[in-house]
Amino acid sequence: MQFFDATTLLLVNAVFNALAALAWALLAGVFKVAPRACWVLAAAHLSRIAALRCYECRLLSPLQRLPWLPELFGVLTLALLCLGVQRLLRLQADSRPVLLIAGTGMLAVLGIGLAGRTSGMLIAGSLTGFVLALLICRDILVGARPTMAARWVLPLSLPYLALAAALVWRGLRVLGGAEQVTPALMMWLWLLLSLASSVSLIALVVHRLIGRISQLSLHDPLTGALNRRAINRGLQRLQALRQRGHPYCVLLLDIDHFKAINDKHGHAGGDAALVHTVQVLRQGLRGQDELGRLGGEEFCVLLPYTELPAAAEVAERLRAHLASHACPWKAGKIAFTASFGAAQASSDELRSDAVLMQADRQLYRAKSSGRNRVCVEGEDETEGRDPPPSQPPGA
Amino acid sequence: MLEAQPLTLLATNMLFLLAAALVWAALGQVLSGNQRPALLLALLNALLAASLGGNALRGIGPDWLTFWGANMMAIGSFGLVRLAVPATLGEQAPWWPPALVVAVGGLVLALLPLRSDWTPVVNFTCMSWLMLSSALHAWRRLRQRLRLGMVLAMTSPLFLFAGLLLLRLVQLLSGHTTRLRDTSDANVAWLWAVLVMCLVLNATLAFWVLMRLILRIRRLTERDALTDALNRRAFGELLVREQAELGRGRGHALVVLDVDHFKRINDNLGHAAGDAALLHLVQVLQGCLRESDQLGRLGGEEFGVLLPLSDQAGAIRSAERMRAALAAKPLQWQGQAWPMSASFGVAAAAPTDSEAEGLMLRADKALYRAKELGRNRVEVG
Repeated sequence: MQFFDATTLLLVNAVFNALAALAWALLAGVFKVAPRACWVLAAAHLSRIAALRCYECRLLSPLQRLPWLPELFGVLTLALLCLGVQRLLRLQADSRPVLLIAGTGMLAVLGIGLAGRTSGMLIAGSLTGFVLALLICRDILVGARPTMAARWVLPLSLPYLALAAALVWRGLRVLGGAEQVTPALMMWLWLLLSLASSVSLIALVVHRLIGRISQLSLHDPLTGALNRRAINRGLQRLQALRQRGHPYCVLLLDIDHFKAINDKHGHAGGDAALVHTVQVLRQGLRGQDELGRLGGEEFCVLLPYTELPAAAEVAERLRAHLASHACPWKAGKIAFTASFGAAQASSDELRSDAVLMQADRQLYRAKSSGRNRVCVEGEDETEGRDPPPSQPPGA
Repeated sequence: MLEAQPLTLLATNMLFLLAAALVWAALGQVLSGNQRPALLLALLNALLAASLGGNALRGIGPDWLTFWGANMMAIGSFGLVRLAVPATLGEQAPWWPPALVVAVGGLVLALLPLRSDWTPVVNFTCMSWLMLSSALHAWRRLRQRLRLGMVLAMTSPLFLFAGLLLLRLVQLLSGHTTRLRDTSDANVAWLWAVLVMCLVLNATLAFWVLMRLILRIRRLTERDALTDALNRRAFGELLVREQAELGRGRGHALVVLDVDHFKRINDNLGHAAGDAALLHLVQVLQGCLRESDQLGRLGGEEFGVLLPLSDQAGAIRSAERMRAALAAKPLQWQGQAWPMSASFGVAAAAPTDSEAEGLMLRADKALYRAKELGRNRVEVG
């Protein structure tokens, strides 16, 4: 290991962290990607430069003669990383525990360090750092798991697990009263950890951007329901399953007298009604059902593994739910209803469009026979399934 | 005995390059549809690391590998830079010009004796040429789309890298020897420069990739997914902006249009035909518009066209042109022609409109009148 020069390794690490801080600042300031998270992470990288330390280096800044100073910055770096990762993953986590742990640790380091007990200070620093590194690990595992494949999540949390292990190792060595480790080896370790943690952070940013893109390209921006493209894709998938014998149904629904809502409450009121509709419908659906907005005030529900009678029940439940829950708007409420058409896909139809057209015919029937009702394919035209026609919506 | 400091710099640089290669390879896995630049960048970083490693082993490993091999890998990796730059900017560029430079460089290097003083000269000539041409290419392409300051910020690292390579070439021509393990201050400075430039080059290209992702996000938030016209929110914001400019003496006009009997298409031919009809409509309309005109989908089959720097007469002419073009071009669906038409409402902005809403309302009323009066016509509000 005498091949390698500890001072150079320290400088390389410092330069790397300075460039990383610059990159995060650019992300926050120029590109406006997750600005709060990125500013915090830029600060974390700057703080890490101050935390770098090497006992046997030729090059020591005056500040590094105070043994507790790099230790303080080390704890600060990890606290900032923890807060940054939480914001990057949009965790609604409380930042107080992190601040509490970091604050206590920094006070302990400062107190013991000023008392001149170097080994006690190093142990306090290692312990705090260990806890914070594990917190980052947990945040990545908990925060990224729902939207990321396991083969990515584990490698991303690995750098922080390694950091926690390295801090335990350092603490144990100090406890055992060991001499300083060969500095070059330690410097290699810190450099590798710096690099790995940056790589992990880059992956988290990319993940966030890609998640946003897929969210935007498959969802309706106003209501958050699936858009036309996503519904078409879902239909094709279900039609393929249908060929293998799994039934599915499609519900189409259209808000009654939507134009009256728009005229009376303005476009903002109409938008609120649409958002409210999606919220109400979601409560009545299973996790595997898919809800989409086809355009305007027309929505579509895909019910996998469902036969027509069950689908008619679901539609009736949704209709009643929607009719009994008015949309809160300003001081008052907007009451409205919707008409439903239900259809089951047949297995001999190759095109997924056909079931949509059948459902559309039923929806048209529901509209023409008085609205606020469910019409089902193959049902007697005169059969009354629903309560009497509703009045046009009023406030 | 090996010299500690240059060796440390070489080893850390190789570490960074290999890590970068790994990150780009992983990105290539994740970015579907954008894999080529990421894989090129992974390969170029790995090659550059291998080249540095080979160079560091001069006098220890076999000569053909540490001299000819390391030089070839270096030239090859810069050839990949020349390919990766257009790919990262989202263009198709021919692969043979950089390949030709690499091939010619390789041939000349193969003809020279392995340890000849001229091999580094050939090496750095090829590398700086490839880097400079990458930088110039990026400059030309980005200048078409972006402001000067932005282009400068985005391409300066590439020019800096090219300048550094040229500086090295001049040094070589003036008789300096290059041994990367040399402990001289000049060599240590060179190694630092290479380390920083490799990091900066990767960061720059990563920012380009990032910028394309962000532009894609912006496009998705502003555009309608089906027709690629502006969505209602973006179109509304544009109207508000134009209305604010009105006070400075720049008039604009608004055309609102609605496809006639759109429901019939949906009912008779299916939803897919309805989508095709909307795409057809947008295509026909785009053909009638100026560069500065903006088309937006206001919802369903209703569209809006914002005509900046236009008065009422001009807007009527535009609307009439659109109406005629649409009526003359029926929708082609599964071999049969389906006639399409639309009704148009036109309104010119007036300072009396307190907000953009007023203009929209007048155009809407005119559209309503056009529908009442028998459709396929233009009315003025």
